[in-house]
Amino acid sequence: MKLLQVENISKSFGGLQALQSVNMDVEEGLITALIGPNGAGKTTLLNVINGLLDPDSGSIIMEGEDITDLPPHEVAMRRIARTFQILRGYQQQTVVENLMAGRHVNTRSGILACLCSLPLARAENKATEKAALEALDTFGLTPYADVPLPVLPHGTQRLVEITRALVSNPKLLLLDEPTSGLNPRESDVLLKALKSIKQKGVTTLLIEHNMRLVMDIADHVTVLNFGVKITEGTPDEISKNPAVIEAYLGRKFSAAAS
Amino acid sequence: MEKKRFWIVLVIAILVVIIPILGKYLFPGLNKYILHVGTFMCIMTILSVGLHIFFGICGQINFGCNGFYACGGYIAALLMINLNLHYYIALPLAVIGTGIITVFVGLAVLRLRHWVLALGTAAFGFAVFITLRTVGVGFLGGDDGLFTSKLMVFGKKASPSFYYYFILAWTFISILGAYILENSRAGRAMKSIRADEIAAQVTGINIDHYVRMAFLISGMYAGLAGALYAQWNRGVSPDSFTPDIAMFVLVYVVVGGLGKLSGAIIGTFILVLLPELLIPLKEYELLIYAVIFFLVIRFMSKGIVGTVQDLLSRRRLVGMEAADQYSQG
Amino acid sequence: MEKALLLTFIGFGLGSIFGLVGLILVITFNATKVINLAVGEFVMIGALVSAILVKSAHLPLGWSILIIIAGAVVIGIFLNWFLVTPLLDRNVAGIMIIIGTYAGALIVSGSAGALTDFAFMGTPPILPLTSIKLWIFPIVPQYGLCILVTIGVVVAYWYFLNRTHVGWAFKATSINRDMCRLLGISTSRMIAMAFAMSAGIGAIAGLLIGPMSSVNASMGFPVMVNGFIASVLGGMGNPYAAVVGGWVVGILHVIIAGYFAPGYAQLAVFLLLIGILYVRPYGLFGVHED
Repeated sequence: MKLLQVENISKSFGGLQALQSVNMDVEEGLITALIGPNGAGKTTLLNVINGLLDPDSGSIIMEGEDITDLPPHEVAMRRIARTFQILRGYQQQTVVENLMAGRHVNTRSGILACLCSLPLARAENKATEKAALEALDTFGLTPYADVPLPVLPHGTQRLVEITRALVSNPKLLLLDEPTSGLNPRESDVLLKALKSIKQKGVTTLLIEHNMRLVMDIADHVTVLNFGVKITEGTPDEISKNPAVIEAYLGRKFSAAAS
Repeated sequence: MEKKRFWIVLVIAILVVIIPILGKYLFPGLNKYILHVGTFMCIMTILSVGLHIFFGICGQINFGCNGFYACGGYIAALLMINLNLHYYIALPLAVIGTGIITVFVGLAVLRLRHWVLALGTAAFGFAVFITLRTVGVGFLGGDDGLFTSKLMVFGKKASPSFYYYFILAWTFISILGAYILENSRAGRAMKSIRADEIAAQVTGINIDHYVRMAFLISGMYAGLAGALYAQWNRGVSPDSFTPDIAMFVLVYVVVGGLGKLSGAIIGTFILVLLPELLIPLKEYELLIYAVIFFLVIRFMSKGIVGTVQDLLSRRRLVGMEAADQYSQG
Repeated sequence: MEKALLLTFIGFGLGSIFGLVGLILVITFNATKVINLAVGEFVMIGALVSAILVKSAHLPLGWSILIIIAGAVVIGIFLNWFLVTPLLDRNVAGIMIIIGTYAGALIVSGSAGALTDFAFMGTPPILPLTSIKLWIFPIVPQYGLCILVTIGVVVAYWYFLNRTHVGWAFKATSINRDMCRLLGISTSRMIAMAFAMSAGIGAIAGLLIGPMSSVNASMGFPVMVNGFIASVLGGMGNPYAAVVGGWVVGILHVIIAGYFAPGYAQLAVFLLLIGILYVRPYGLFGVHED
């Protein structure tokens, strides 16, 4: 079943055409990788899906609903969660506070309910804390629950940010270069985490440069270059595709491959 | 709240309630003075906690809280003088009235961020101050201000003790409200906005909504402080609501520790007490505040509470070899 | 009609002062990316010292001016070294530094007040303060001097930025400080230079404004407020727009004061500011950089 459909999305910044009539689908339950050289428009596409950017034309359909013009917080309410290439954890908060913040879309007590400490607000508070502690446990982060984020090493912060995205039980998880800035050991931990996410059946759209990871975990790969989708397929298929090799390594190598 | 903190807060609460009662017997001459300073401190605390909600929790800047403080005071006074309303009715109406004004001011300024927002709110604070001095002198009293009549409690004129406990009760409620808000879903949303607006948005937080709400609540806190002040002071005049006050409240919050509720309270306590202890230097009050503020952001950027907490927790974190565990897989 | 023209001219004159303050605000903002609320104090120093010198030292005008400007520059560099650079280096959050500069302004004016007992002083005008008729236009020479000096300063600043080597480096630093450091430009020296210029120009503004209003240790803040509004109206970051903004503020001030009451003038300026921020948050000529 197609969870997310990207239809003919185009976006330009001044003179630069970042995305040109990009079409792709994200199948439910699978991990789809979005790859391409730097500047291909991958993050731009993610930003359009999220609502952080408005496309010039085209639409994004999530579960049959057109979400193109929705503001970012409304998109999040459709259970689409996102992480960023640069760490965007809440630096002034502890790990558990970061995770509890991630439960925002699963709760609905308004400001008045919170101020008056109505039963709904109190119950949701307890449930939020419980969900956060469970999420900590799943990824072995429990020892760090009350540690303020800036103290932790880069890889752990990245893991916390991904957990924050996951704690809301999203239908679609958007990960932007999760291994960026991680050393090989931290990347392995991340790979394990991604595998367990896949087992749980969370649909994931993943931007990555780490090809080993992509080959290992992706079910489907879409390749962008200069804002255009050049091909898609299984990891095996695209690794042999001359156009892909040319995009990354240049014409000489693609000729050598074929 | 952890056990230890709960007991500390309880002890402080008890002290704050008991001392003025004992004061009549322990230091009779000074008691009226202590009540006066204490009551003023409570009013300032309500202002600081209000600013804490907007600045400390939500991370937005308001340089004009004196404007909302003045609204509360003047609305209460005007209602009592012109409509002959009893104080207990004028008080909530003044708070609601200030809230309405806050919404309108918010429409104008809340699309701005950072220092431009600071400027916009400062301009509001200044504008209110100037308006109170020069516009509608017949109605608003100009430089002299308005005078309110005495409050009768159970047939007798309200005493300084009554005012102290009455205002103290409101202060407790304000602090409690802020504490509940901080630890609720709405509070977490506001903290997320302070920490990282983009990340907050993708976690489903409607920034515009929460910022407006924080502004409204913060404004109503200031309005409450103003309305309480109006009756306690038996009147309002522009001199009580100068733009300097907006700066003072900001200094209280920052020196105490930005982002911490206890910081706002402690900052207010220390900085309201200080000029009273240094009476001979009172004309240099502004200068002393400026020096303290500068020293704090230069050497103790997290404020008093923040720096103390850092020092205490450093011992805990130094032994965190566990942090290495993840790097080794 | 004549009254309107006269008021407009006076407004231009007063606005020139606000424009100068706005200019020095933009100069320090471009160099440090921080709004320095203490720039009004340079004006105060200029006015106050000139008042004192006139009363006591009886120095010839030219020497007084040089001494005042030099003194202000020294104080400006000192302020930078003592207040601003340490905060910048410690990566204190922007808004805190701005409040810090406000604290600095209070420290400066408080100290000056302590030294002078917050007394009010007067300075004699350099040119006459009475209106004379130039052709059909009424002008007031002292205010005319303000306008001319301001234009002169702006031209000199433009020349500095665009026709001198040092000016080029200075301009570059305001665009991308880190890149300039990599290229071997001493950014701390550029910042010091920004402060020196601001102090000097501020002192000149102080010398000009002295005869036109009362001089006292606390006069810096209201002047700074109007200068700040001028630079925001124009669009923070654009020095020339700040001067234009200053004229707008000055003319509004004087017209409202002349046709209604002085009390309403400042209020009108604030309402104008809030109105413009609502429509164009980045100023009349400002561009949204994000």
